[in-house]
Amino acid sequence: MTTHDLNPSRRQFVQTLGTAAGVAAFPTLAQTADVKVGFLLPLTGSFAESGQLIKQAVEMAIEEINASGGIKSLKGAKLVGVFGNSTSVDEANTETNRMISRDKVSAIVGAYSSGATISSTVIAERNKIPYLVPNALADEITARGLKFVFKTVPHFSQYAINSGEMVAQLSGGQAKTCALVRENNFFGNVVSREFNKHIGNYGLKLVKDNVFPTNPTTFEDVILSLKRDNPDIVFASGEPSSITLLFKQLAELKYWPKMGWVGLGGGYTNPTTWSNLGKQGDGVIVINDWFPDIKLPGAREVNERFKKRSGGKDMLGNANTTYAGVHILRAAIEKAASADGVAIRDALAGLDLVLGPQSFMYERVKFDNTGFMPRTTLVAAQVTGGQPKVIWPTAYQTTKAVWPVTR
Amino acid sequence: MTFDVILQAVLLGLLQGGVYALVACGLTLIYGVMKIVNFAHAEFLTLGMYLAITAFHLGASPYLVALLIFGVVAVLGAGIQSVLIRPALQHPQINQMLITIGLSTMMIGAMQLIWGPNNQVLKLEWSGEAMELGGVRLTYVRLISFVAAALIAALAWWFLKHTRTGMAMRAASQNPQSARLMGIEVMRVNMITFGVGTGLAAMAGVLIAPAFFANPTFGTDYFILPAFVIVVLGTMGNFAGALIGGLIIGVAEGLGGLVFGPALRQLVSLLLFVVVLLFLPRGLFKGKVS
Repeated sequence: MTTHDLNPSRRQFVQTLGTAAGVAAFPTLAQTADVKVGFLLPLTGSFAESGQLIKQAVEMAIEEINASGGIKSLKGAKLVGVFGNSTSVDEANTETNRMISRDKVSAIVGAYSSGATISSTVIAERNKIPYLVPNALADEITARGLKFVFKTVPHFSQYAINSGEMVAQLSGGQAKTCALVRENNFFGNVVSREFNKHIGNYGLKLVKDNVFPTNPTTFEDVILSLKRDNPDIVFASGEPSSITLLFKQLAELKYWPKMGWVGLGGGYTNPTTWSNLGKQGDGVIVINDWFPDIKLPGAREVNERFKKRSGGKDMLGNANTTYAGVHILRAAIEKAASADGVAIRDALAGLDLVLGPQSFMYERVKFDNTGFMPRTTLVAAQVTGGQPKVIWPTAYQTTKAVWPVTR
Repeated sequence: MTFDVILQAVLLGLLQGGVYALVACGLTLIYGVMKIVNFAHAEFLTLGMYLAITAFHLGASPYLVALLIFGVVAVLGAGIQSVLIRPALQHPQINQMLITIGLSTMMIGAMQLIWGPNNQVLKLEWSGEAMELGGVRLTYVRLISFVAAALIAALAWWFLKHTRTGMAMRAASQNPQSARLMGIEVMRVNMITFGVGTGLAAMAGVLIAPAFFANPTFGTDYFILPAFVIVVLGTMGNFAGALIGGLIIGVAEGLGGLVFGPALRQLVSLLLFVVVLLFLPRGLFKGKVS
């Protein structure tokens, strides 16, 4: 064997070795790239209870999707979640920019508080990245002509309208006056505006709009003014931490409205609120888009699956809506067969889903031309022993309402 | 507006003011002796709350372990002083401020790691029970926190006036140079002061734990602003000033909330603060440090 003969085989050997090393070092080259999705959630601060609960629901959805073969139209590409904090408007904006420019996400889901959502959606729109909102309620989110924003949760105006309908029906028209208790932030102002606009249509006079600051040190002044105004019903919104303080002080000052206390979405649906309050929460009515015991296919099963990873907490406080949101987004990416923002946006706009993993809470998924997904009605549940039981409307009822709620 | 409602607001403000005063006492003590503004002060209050809640979950009444918690936090505070703050005492004040701000961030992070971000509640069976005087309700939890805060502040006052260590602390606050020449170990006094000051904050945390809830940023969110207002109002470094300032701010907030609504409850206390800064820039006690 000559040196000349040896050379090619040595070259071949080195080539083979190089290829093998390359494949070992970059296994992803052999597969399709992952699809990155950004999740903006309040993971710390006073909304952290909600943010952490939602994060668990997102992780559950992603695990399910990847375990069932990922995005099939993208050769089984895996969905990868990138998490960012949205405790304040500034933080949400910074994180949105980071997710788009550094992490190169294909879509964003968030941002829990309406204020943070309003601002961060504009950044996503500018960068042509679709933004799914499964947890912030303000009507404005889809009322600004943005093309990349899709909202699966009801507008807050529907909360005001359905609250009025429910109270009028439950009280047989006996309830005449009401007061509001809400936070002094963007969402609180939306609550106030929509109640002022709609509640009069249901025979209710709004006697006082009680505003409390973010991180209130006490609710004593709110309670004293409620005592003074003596309304039939109190409608309230807030976060778990403020609700916990409020209900402690309601008991301390022995105040309760004449007919009942109605909580509006957000912190009032958070299971931590009710476990913190114990007996103090009994009888409170909560209005929301879903409850675990609602009569819809798969609702209980999804909730039980979630409870296994959340330490027994129900899939509420927007964990449910965000979980469904991830599955809706997956359906859109599947349909787009692309990780490109514009393609996913077009797929979302044309989506029409009836059956799927999201059916446990949505009978049909179809966005209107503003990017909003309309629903016919909200449901109300009454808290008994820390558990919300659906009481209204009668079509979805699982327990009869206790009315009036006196203490 | 009925008289009952106004009286209730004043009394509740007074009770809240008592707790504010206890938090402010520690802050003003540290400033008075060491001339350090402790931005991490509220975190020691939060730490006190968490320790009380943990003790309660282990089966101990928070009131029974209050002294123990005071001791633990005081030792921790003294340790932090000697490791983090003492080396910076000779440097510009901005360095010390930045160190305490950093300490605050570190403590919030550590508490989140240990106790998690969620709210924790100390559910005493009798936390809703109250004394009724006519139409006014004062819960025992609030009454206990007020009375205890007043007693502790009185005890701290006596300690400063009548014990050797207390006198050394006052001497070090008035003139550290002369105190050192008189044979007072100013460094040791500083360490004790920081320990006692942070211990007082933790004690306030134990007392309010049954009436509030705890999360890692609780102290910063709820107590640090009133505490600074009170300290400046009552003259920085003046112990009695902090007590009186606490009660004034408590009542001002209580009445302010009733008249202007809760969102503007701090308007009255902050207006009062602006007026004091404009016309009595060295506080109600005109700069006199006791």
